[in-house]
Amino acid sequence: MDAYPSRRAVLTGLGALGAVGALAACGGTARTPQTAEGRSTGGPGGDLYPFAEAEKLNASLTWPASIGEPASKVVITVASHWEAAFLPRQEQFDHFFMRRHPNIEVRREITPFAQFLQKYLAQAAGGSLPDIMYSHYSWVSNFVKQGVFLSVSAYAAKQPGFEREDFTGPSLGYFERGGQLYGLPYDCGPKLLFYNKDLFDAAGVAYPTASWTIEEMLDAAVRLARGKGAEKVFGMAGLPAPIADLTPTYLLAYGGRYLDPTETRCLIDQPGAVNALRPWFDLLHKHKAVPSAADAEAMKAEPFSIGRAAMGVHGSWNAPNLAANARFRWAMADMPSGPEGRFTSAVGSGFAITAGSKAKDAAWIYLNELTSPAGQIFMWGSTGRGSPSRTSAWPSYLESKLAPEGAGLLEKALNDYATNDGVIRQPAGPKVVSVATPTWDRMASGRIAVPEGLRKIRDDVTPVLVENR
Amino acid sequence: MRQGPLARGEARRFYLFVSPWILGFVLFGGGPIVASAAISFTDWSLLSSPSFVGAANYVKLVQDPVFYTALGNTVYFAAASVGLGVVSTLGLALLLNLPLRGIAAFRTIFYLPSVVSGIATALLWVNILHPDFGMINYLLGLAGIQGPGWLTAEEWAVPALVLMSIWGAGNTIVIYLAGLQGIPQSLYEAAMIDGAGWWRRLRHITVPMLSPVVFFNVVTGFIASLQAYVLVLVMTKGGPANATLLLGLYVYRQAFEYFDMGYAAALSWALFAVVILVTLVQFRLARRWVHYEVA
Repeated sequence: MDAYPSRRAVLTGLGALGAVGALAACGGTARTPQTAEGRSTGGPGGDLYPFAEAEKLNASLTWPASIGEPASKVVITVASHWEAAFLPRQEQFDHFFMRRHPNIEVRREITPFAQFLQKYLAQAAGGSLPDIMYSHYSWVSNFVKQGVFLSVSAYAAKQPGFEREDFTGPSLGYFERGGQLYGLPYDCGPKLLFYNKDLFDAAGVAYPTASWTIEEMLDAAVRLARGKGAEKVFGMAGLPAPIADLTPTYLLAYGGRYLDPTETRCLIDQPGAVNALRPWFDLLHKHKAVPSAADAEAMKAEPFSIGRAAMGVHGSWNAPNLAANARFRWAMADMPSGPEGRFTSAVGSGFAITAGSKAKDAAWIYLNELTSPAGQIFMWGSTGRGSPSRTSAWPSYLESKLAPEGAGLLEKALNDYATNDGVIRQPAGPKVVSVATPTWDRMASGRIAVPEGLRKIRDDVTPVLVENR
Repeated sequence: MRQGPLARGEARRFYLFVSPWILGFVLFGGGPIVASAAISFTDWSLLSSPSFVGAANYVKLVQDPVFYTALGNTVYFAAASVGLGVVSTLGLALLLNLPLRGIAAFRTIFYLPSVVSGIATALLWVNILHPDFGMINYLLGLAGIQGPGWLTAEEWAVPALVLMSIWGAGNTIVIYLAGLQGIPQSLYEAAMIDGAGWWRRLRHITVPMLSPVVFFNVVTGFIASLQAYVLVLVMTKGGPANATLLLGLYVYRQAFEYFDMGYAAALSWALFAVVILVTLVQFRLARRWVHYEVA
């Protein structure tokens, strides 16, 4: 057989290709959809968020009045970090938004969360930021300080039906500076105690109750730790970490604080903080009920999510992932109380208009609709994604068939005891965490005693806080 | 003296062939180098215009205890990885230089790890060094030794990274092989006639004749090790307790976690100074042990 096709064979092939092209050109665009998604959609969507249902929901909601439509076509760019599964919902929102505002075209930039900050800092340096961008609560302070975010207070004041008081208390606080509002939150959720019902049942330990104290929780963690080696089950998924929300999640219940309210003094070596943290390190060193660094390295995944820890303190935003992937029965419980009461952190994210935007009015129309009661019901309530920042959107979340079991507890925690008090948000925050972590590692490995380690952290963190003065 | 047409033609060809590199360096290397020098004298967070702060970043560097931790870790890592690398790759090159059937296949096998990307290598070694299921602790277990938590124990984290650093030694082995094959066979034949055994031939012929190649590998190995950070970023992020915080990673942390570009640039120049200093010391010491054959 010849190694190369003959000239005739080549010409025949090219002719056939040309004929297919000609037929395609004459065939028009009428086609029968081959998939369920294709048959049901008249716009963006998918199995999780069918377009027809989205259209019906969109029509049922009351959208905010516009502050004034642009006279001619305006393009706005919106930067967010949605994963592929949730992106169709955003595309649906944009689709209906552009239908309501035919003179505003929305262009979307999607960047994974892990790269988001680096990318947009580089774009800020290059003077090419989008009109609207996502912001994590811990980034807001730096962006505001550097003049990147536009104050939207004036827009909010003239927006009919804005209802500022509808935002949950902790959520709006992250975007307020000097009496101005520099963005609008879309979610804000509490950290709660998650527990594995199967492991509690296997150990014969009663489930957590609303009256649990921190001592009872830690005692249960000791009783729940069982087994050895790769089969070992831990009572608690991990130690507290010296991160931004350490104070409300772990220290306030004992009257302790990581930093003072102005974030210019480190208080982590004070008795309240020491009393709050010492039992956790005992849980690791004396009772081996928390994974060590080597154990954690060996597991290669978050211990609670893979069923290797009976309890874990997690944010409400972990619930959808657990609901989709956990291979065990789980539930949420209130954070246990300490001698000074019951506390937890409430943190979240939002969107802001960049100061350099050339379409500020259109950007406000979009931002306001996205974070309005209707926008939050459409995006975060009805989808079960959760923790909307507006109180009025919570019922839609609690009624959503996609919401996790016991989601009502999140709203209760948010209203009753979750706080943003003590959450680090000043510019030195990332350095504080980074400077404290090495000593924290040494406390966890038992190389340095807890009180001594906390004193060293105070000494190391104090110079860093000068940046906040 | 006026050049002849031949010399002028050769000069033209020289500039023609060297121009792509020069253009690339000026456009993509030279500009950032000059810019980083200027940035090191500023306070710049990317979000606002840089402000001139004089030598403040260099003063901060001298007073920064974490800088000295990173410097110590970097020198430790570089010296250990280059030392282990030279011994192991030279040994492998000697074995791969033996006139055996199928030796080309062995050479290919030992070169293969060099073409694996850095991130893939890091993820692979995280598994090899796994405290419970990793290959190294498994082998130690067979000998009755309880292996450490390689990447989670302060005292073992750098040795683990050093161990990993010889993984991609294929390029160095190829350079050694080329050097070995360039040693005149007549020297070995003369030594054998004089009754020299394997060890004497290695010590008095192979090593001296190969010393320029060893020197090249030591210099380039040190430069690469002093600048290492990607694998450390992926594997340990500088932990535990800053035990693997190398200077390169500290530069990255200042620039892309703290967004302190001025200090990061100053650290980069400090790293450059360390590289230059180490290289100068190596060149000075080379006079004592590197043998250049003079025609």
